[in-house]
Amino acid sequence: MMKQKREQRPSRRNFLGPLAAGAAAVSLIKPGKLLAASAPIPSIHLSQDFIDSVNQSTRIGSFEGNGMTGAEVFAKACKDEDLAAMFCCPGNYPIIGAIAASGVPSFGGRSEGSMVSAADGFSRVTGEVVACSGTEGPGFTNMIMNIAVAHRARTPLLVLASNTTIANDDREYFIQTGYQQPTTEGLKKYGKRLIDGSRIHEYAGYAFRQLKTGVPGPVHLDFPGEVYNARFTMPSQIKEFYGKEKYRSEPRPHPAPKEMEKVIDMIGKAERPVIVAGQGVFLKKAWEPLMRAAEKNEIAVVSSGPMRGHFPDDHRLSASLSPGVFRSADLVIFVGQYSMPTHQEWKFGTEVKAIRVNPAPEDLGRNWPLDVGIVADEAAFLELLADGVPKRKRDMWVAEVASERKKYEKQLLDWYDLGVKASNDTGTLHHEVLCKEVNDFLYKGSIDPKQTVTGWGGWTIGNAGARWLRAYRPGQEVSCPYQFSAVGPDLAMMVGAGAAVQLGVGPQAAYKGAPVLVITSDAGIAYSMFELDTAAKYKIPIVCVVYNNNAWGMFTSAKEQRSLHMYIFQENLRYDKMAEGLGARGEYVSTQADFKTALKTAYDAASKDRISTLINVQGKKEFTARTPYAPGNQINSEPSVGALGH
Amino acid sequence: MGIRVLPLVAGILEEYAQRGVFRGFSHGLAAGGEAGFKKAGFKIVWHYDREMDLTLDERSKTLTFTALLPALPARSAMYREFKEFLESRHSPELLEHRRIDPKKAHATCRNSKGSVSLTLTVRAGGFEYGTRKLVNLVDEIFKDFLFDHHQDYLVERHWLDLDRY
Repeated sequence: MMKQKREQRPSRRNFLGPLAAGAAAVSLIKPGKLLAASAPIPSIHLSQDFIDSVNQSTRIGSFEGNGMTGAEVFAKACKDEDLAAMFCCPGNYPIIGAIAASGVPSFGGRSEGSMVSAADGFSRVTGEVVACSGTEGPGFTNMIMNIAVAHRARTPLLVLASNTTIANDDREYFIQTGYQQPTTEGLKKYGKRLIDGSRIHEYAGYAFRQLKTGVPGPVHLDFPGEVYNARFTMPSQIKEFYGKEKYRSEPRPHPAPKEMEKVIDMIGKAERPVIVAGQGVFLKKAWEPLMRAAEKNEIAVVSSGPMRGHFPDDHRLSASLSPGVFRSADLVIFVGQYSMPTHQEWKFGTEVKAIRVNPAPEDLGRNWPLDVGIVADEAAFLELLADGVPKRKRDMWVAEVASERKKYEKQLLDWYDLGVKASNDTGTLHHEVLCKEVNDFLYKGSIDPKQTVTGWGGWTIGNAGARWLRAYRPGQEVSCPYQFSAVGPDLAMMVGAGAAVQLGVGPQAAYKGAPVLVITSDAGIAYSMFELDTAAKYKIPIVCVVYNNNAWGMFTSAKEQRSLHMYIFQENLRYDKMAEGLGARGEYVSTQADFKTALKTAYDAASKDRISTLINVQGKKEFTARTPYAPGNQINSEPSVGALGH
Repeated sequence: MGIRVLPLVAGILEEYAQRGVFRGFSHGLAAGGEAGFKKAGFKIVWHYDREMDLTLDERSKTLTFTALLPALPARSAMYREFKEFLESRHSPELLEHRRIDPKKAHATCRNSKGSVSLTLTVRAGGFEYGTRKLVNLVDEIFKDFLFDHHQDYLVERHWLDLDRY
């Protein structure tokens, strides 16, 4: 069955021909001849070793026989803590081996940085703690940018890496030595180089306390050989060896009754209140009380954070598509907004009063002075709010939200019309046209609009994608560049998100097995395109739309003509062909009609055969500038769909 | 009158600074003596960390942001749009809480060799209404008029740093 499926997949023979023939042959044979290479070249397929490996039964270490290793003790702690998944590259071998063997869903990819982002993506659409791992030295340092991305997004990410041996600390012994903890300074919530094997379980407790309480963030543990190779034949050899119910609590701090009275009083006096529902609302799965509170008192809501959908975009009280409405708000209630903006960055007007609800007291008042600051669990606060606010109709306010939405949607359509004209004039596809087509396909056709998890990244295309993608249920959209604005983790992040959908974890359960879609740029795809191999290996179906405009989006910053060459690529690179070489499908399009067809074909392949497709959409870098191709690149105002700053 | 207007306006501005609308605020010196002051200046650190100068002139009943927008030629399309934007803020089509009621106050601009100043003349609304509407208007100019429609201008002034995005 497996063999038959493999053979049905598109042949990459023509593309791989020249590579297999070798460089010498390439120099001797004309391109036309290359395509007709006569030697049979094997197709891309999964090896039996891979298939056998993923089908192995799980195994938890025990004290019997040779006993448990430090790695197995740590893996057991991860399993007991319901670690949702692990993404890694080889290295840190005993740890990743023990975690995989324990039954934690585990994925091996092509670069450590991308695996960090895959773990990040998995967490962004589930809210779960996820691990990533890499080898010491180069593997670990490759992870840094992506750890920073996760840190800015406050992702509950467990970063694991091996790190030589204590016996050889400071000696530059052999290869790959380095001090890890100082390297992640400023990029983590907590970190520790473990130095005593007998305390490995205790430090698992340190890690999960940080990951599962308060405002989360990456936790970085590095393991010397003495720790993961330590061996234990009886429990007494492991210190502080007790269960999670003893080493951490699950606090749900509630607001004081007087604080709630004050909040309800302020809401009562407000004519135009808005709740900013940050990622804490998602992480605490508090969307139901949020909805109840909003509807009961007709409070507008904008969802915010590295993931979207904890308040549906199509709800009449959603302000996510009404950026013009924030200036009218006279009260803003930030709930679980971990990365706080300043007043200058967000669209709110100058008379707005502010309440902030956050699980960590030390952040209250940072960036945005508060009228009321409350330390509380987001779900606990929203439940009390939903119970405490009176029923109220705010017809004028609801009408204003609707009116601003209408204006926003008209603006998008006006830009789309300009994009159509630019596309027709140039024979390439404008970014606004591309993104509207995705919107039509995902939300206005035969697919359940709630089904597809999407992500976006890139500059011109990322901003446009963010305007057109929608979130109608929790965990449906990932803002890949959220806050740190890194170029490139987009596809890797969606490999992780796609894995979560395949497994049906948390809010993805109802859409288990559905494809995911990512819109990214030609600059961005270079950072993580090899993860199409990872997606193919694990049958994670992704529709990856690459907007190819032959340049870094920032080419407009090349004020000196002599510097422009540093911003531009070769024209008409074929990312679709590269994708084919990695075991995915490739599509090349440059017209609106072809894009429509390619999108449908790609989605069908993803849905039916779990095969990913990269659609190379040829555009022009000149579309980024406003002259002559208005609207050019538009940075989205915040908060709203398309927000990436906070 | 003088004694009452200055502390009123200064107090309102101070409140914006306390609420994070401004990043920094200094009460300027009043000219003409406290009892009979005619003008007072304020320093406000605000959008893109720029220090802006606001002058209160009690005699002419005006509040003026001097050189609010530099390098904006009087004959440019953007300046024309700016004037239209200002006028639109007085439109009866706007909701009451979004609009400057022309009976209560009126905002105008002046372009001197490309340097645009913004003046709000206080009418029946008094200085409290006028101050609040002017602060909101400047906020709107930066967040809506400039950010939404003239990002290139922000980049050219080095106010908006694309590396931050």
